[in-house]
Amino acid sequence: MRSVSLHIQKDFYTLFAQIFSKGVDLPMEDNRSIRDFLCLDIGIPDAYLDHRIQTVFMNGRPVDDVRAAMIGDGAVLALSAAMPGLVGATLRRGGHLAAMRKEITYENSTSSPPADAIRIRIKLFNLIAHELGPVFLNHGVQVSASDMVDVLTMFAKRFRQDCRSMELDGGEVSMENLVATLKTIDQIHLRVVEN
Amino acid sequence: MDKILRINVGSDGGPAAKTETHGDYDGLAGRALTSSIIGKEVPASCHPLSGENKLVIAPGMLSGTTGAMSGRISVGCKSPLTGGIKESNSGGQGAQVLARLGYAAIVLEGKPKAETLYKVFINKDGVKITEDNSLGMLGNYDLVEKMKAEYGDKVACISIGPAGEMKLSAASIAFTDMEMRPTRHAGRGGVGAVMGTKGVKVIVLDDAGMGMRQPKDPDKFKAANKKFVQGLRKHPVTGEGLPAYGTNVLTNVVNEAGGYPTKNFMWGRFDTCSKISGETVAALENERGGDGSATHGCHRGCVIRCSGTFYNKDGQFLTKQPEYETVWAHGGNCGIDDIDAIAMLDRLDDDYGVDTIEMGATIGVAMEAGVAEFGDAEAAINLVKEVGQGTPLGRILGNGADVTGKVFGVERIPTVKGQAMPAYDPRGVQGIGVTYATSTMGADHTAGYAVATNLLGVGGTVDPLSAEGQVELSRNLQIATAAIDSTGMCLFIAFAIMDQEETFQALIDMINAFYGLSLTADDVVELGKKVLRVERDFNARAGFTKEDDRLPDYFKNEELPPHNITFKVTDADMDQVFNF
Repeated sequence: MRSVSLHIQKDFYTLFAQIFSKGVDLPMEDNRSIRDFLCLDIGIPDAYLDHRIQTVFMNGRPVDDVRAAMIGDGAVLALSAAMPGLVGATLRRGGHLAAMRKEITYENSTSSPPADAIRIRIKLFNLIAHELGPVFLNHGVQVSASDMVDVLTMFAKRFRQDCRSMELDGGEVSMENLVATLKTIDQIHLRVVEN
Repeated sequence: MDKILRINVGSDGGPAAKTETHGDYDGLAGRALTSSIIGKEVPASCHPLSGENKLVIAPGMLSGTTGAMSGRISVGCKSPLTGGIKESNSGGQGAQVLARLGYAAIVLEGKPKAETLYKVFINKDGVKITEDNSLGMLGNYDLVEKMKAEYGDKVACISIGPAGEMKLSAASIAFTDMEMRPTRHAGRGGVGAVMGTKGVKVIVLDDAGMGMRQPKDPDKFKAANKKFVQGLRKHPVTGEGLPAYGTNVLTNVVNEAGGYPTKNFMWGRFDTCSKISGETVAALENERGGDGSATHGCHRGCVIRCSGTFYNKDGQFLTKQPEYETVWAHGGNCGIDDIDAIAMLDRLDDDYGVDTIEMGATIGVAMEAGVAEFGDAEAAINLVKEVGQGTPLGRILGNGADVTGKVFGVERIPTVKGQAMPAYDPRGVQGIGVTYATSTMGADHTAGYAVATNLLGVGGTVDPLSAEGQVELSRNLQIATAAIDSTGMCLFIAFAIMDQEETFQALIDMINAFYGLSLTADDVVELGKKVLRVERDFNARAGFTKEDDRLPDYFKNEELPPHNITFKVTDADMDQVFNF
């Protein structure tokens, strides 16, 4: 897989909102609970998970218990802050309106087959994308090349202004050439560094 | 705010204004006042476009004060869209200015004897009603510019566009915002058509020379307001999420839950919704820049500032930041993922004066019928233009999803009591389906909002993770929402008062300090119940039965991908909602 590295000067997370909305792919070593993945593997403080990440979806289903819900190969995990609206309140973890969406609530699978190398997709929404997006981008994620083209096109001025360098497979590349190349491939490994 | 202005547009010799005291309606404001007047004074069986119907415009209990978030205004009438009672509310400057002028309500009554348009000017010296047929078929934007030239830019306008003049059932009433743009609307239920039948094109409010309304206990009011604002600012929804992304922050989350109605409620997910999500739109607005781009209030005294200003690619003002429901209705529901096109549709809706939810749902139905292709943004824009021009097709579309579905032979019509559903599929979050079905207003996402039923203690405690509870929760939420609507507070305070008991108490303290009352949570609940009883009684007299408290059959029969679920709440359970 081809790799893209961007060195951006400041405040870049919002440019990638669309990418995090669609989701980025990450490798994971083994099946584990949402809490273990976020707090042990990624290093998110427990308090942040408990108080800030108020809305969690696994495979499109709202999760109430992050300790019990196990992430398996191919899982899609989406994280959001508390949301407005009746439905926003309803989707909260263990909120007092949770009964209103019981038909779609995530139920733990009792048997997750063990796996050596698995991949998951993680979606970050709203304030969580703002706060955790840089962490994931700095770590490196796999994203759709066409989504990256969309972002580079939509925020071309910002990238030209604030991106100190763009690298494709370790070599410096112009934005025009990067976009042209991205249009010919499916997936890239993306890393963004703020400096 | 102790007087009611009545304008009888059918009087001999032209419209006549008279001012009276609150009388029987003493102590009521907002939805409680509009519904009480309609319930008592309008024959439930009347034609909504007849002279027997009335249009009531009422600010909230704390409007016109220094109290934060007190700028909602309620509009009531018998609805041309549903045939039942209607309360539709709006932000903008109208509530604050009308309240400072001392009016608890404006009531438009009767029917003009001739095809004449009127403008009503209200200031500290009184009311002046002028015939002005030059305003005919003006869009709201041109109309407001004309009023600005005549009365200056410090006034507030309440107006209708061409849709209201044509008496279309999706017609809205526009309220100007802080920049004096007609961007805030009482959208639902065709209230604009009722204003159109009264021949009133615009009401201009000028509060020059009027001060803020003064509380009975200024110190207590100030302290409570301070605590209330602190509560709003520290809560992640009202202090961070809404200001940063606006209501459209919901797009990604509802889509992820599989409850985002897509292509006329055929799917629960829109593949390209990330292109129109609140996060993406806020980033785009910040990139384009301009005053109030991604974070802006819709009226003075707003501390949440969930709105914004949408500038086009050339940096010119196009419309306010489109709300979540608008982005859904004209976006995912029609398969459109071009935010500039959606913003243009929002602008046209506001200019012609139509409800964005009803129009988006209607175009979705029309697309299913083959009138246009799903995803064709240009076609959608042209369809809305047909509404503004009043072509035969436009008049069909302007009468809403129900009429359009019948005309084009579509079975999948997402309406309850004739009103289009908002942006949440009831098969995903079934509790909201109970509210859609049973609300006195027709399908309405704000009829049973996430108000602090837990703190109010409405109906006791429901186990959040129990298999039961949909009906109980819907009932409790509808009661609590009716009460909040009556205060005139923005519903978005709901999150802070739901999670922070001290913020909820601060709200009660504000009301008590202002009026010298000693209201308790029980009193608030009783007010909500009273409002709902009045509305239910009106609807029963208008001919509604329990059979009207149902979702369309296809929600029970068609599985919604991706979770492949149907609506499962039984009719018998639904009939228990108003069992209080």
